[in-house]
Amino acid sequence: MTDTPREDIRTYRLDPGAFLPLAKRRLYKRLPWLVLAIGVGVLVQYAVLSRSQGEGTMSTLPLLVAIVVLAAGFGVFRAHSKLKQGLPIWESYRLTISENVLRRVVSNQAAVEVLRSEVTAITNIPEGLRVLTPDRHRVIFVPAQLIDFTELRERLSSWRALEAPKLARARALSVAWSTLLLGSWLATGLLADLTWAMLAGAVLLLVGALGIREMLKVQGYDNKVKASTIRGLAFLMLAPFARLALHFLFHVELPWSR
Amino acid sequence: MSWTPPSPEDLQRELERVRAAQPVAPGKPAPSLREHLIKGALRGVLLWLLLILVFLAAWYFLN
Repeated sequence: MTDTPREDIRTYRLDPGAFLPLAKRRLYKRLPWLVLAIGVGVLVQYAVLSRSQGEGTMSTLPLLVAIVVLAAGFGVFRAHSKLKQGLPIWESYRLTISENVLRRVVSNQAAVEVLRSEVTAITNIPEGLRVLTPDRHRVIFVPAQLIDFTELRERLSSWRALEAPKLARARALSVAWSTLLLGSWLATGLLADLTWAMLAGAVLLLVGALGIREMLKVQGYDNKVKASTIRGLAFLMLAPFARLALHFLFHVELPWSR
Repeated sequence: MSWTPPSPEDLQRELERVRAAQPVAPGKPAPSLREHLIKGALRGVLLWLLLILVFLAAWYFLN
């Protein structure tokens, strides 16, 4: 159903039937990454332990694998059973367009308004459209699951010609930032020399702080997603303090620093 | 199709009409970012404490 309160103003909403298949697809898309992250974590842990404690370490591996599989299975089951909780937010989505204004509201987020004169680009992506402004934090994502999406796309293409997104640049930036963040986090914990580890820790604090700043500035993002990203970054940023505490308070040294 | 930008007054009126076309979603307002952060941090700390307790218990029984 689409509201038409005025001739030139039209409001679009999301197709309720498209929610569950999309939410399931997103959940299962994340699974291989979860398995990979757990696998790498376990491998690193065992590589470190077997170096410091000898071959006997491997005897606990079957028990650990069982615990990890059980915990991951429970996590997936819980995520699956909570999928429907996102439906009210999905149903609250409204995108209104007039001749010169595009405005999006969702129940759990602040409204985002973009004027036609502000639009710098409209990019065509597989998931829908992205309406960009000079402020990179103020972007309206137009999902392809909107009822009458094709009609809206046509209307937006009269604002500005649709463009292909600059995916290569965005991906390169994202890979560089992730590598710097995870690399400095690992280096803070694994470098034998404390000075070098603290240098990596300083890089980690800087990269993490920049990430948090970006997350706070970005508009039109679910507060829950924002909060979990900020918490994740803050947790990673504890690494240099944990390393210092291990060194000075508990006198713990890495096995390879001796 | 050529497009001429509206005057600031016309644009303001149009903006008001667009806002009026989007009624506020019914129900309880969503928690703020601060609420989410505090709730999540508390849950995280409790989870870590629980994990440490489980680890200590396992250590105690295995030794």
